[in-house]
Amino acid sequence: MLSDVLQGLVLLLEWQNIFLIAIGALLGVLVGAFPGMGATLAIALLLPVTFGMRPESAMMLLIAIYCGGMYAGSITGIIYGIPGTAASVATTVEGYPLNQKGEGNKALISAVASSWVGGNVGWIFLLICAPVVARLALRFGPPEFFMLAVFGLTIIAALAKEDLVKGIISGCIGLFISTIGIDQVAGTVRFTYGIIELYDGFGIVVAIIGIFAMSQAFVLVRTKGLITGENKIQKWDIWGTLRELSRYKLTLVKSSIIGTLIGAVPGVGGSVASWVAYNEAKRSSKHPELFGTGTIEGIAASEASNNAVVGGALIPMLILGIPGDGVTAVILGAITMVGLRPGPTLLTEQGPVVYSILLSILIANSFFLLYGFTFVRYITKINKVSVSILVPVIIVFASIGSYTANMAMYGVVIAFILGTICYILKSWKFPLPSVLLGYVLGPMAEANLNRSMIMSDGSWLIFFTRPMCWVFILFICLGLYQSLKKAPVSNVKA
Amino acid sequence: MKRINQNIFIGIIMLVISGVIYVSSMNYPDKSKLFPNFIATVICISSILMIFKAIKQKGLFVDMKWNAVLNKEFSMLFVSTAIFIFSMPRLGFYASTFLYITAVLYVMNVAKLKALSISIGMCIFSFVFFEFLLGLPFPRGILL
Repeated sequence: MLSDVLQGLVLLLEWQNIFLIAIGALLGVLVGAFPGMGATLAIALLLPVTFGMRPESAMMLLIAIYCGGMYAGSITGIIYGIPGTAASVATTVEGYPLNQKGEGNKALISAVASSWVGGNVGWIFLLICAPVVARLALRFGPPEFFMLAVFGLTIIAALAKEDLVKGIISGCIGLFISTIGIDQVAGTVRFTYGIIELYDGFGIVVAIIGIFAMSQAFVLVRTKGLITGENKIQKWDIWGTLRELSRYKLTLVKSSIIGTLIGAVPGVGGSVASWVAYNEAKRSSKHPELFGTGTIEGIAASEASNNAVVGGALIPMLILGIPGDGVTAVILGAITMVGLRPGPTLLTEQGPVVYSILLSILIANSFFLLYGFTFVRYITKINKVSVSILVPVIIVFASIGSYTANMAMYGVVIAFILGTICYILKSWKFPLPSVLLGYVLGPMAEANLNRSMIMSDGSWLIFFTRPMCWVFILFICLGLYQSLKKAPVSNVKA
Repeated sequence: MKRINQNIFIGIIMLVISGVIYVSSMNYPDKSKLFPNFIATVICISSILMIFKAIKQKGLFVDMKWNAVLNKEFSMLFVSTAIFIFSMPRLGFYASTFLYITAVLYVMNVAKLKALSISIGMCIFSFVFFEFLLGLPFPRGILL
């Protein structure tokens, strides 16, 4: 193994490869910072560029985009309150309030540093215990997936700051939206009312843009002046912020491990990982009441976990040939195109190439850290632009994002309608992150509930006969107990 | 002037939504309606809970104003965005973007020259970054 690692290191350190990683991380950051774009789109667009490249060079470029894109989703979330990807919604919940207080710089530095920590912890896991984690992840059957989804849904209680009932209704609205289209198990067309374009459902990109970008533009249009209001914008203080962030070392490590483990479970991905880590950080925090008002700890949890997913998601992809999330599904296509055959024999047959790819994650993480500490600071200058100017620009970018999701106008129309509904919900004090949480977890919960019922001939006991399910039941009870214990009395405002 | 408590109004709307979900899923096979029915039930129970809480805390009618949803700024942006989306495949992405941004900025009292330069800048950026560099095609219409 050691000789493979050393040979991999030699391959990695060729200047062309380092250059490709630098370009890939930059492209990932640039494209990932636009709501609705993200790493998947950037990788899909750059696939043809990799055709003439050596396998390791092509993979290094794509994985660098993945790492950069995963981090960059937090940038627009922090500045405008519009997450670039579903995995950065939890970051938005904490980062945007910080930016409104004039502490956007602190949020951005924390986000990039936490992403770097998460990315590297995930990488270490990937290097050391890939085969073990892959075997563990394969033990996940429909009952475990269902319990994981239910565990994710309990976060709704943690998100409901003012009114738990409104939080539950928001989550249910998200769950309902996820049922629109063809049912995954029975194949029934549901709630489309004859509109053919809805057969495939809304799509995650369109949903994010509608729920966050369009609705946020409608909210911002009522604001005069700057996003930060009267608050003075704090200076770009890297060392001060890192000192503050270092108080949450345990949260960073814990969230990174959560991210890696969840990332290794095929089909779950960064959005679930970030919520689970966020919830756990809130549960174990000394000041859970501050979550949702702009805390570094919340950003640390969310960002560390969603970047740790990169390492985790590559484990089943490389070792078993099963993609961990949407982006790795595209990378899996690319990996076979360049002549590598993912599977248990990959490490023995192509050791140096695989290790050079794995080691490149470390370099890619360092590049996005560099970009995050240097040029991303200039993005915060947007805080000095009047909201009146930002509003139509946000709508145009949101339209581009929702159009490019399907290369069709109906995506824009859906995002607009969803945005209007979510604007009304937001005005009525319904938490919008709960809507997206419901939307993301809905299909996972429903499909695996149905599959579990088929497996057990309709017996619910299946959820109580498997050890992994009991682990989730324990976490669900713990999470609910903590959230309900600390939840304020429903604040019904007339 | 006393108005109906806003949370009661919201609760009634959510009750109607749960009813619509329930009725719409009635004809689906058992496996397909299990989840929607569960969602409808949870929304229904939560709405009733919300209404009861609102009555208990503030009463059926209150003196307080509702949280504003419809206002001049929102209505302006809503209508102009609807026109923008409608015109995009007809006029073309760049023409409709230019007109949309200029019009919204003008209504929001941004100086004309600034509004024009932002609109043109946005069109150029969209072309260079998305169409030229990333190769993403935008809708084309009778103009651009």
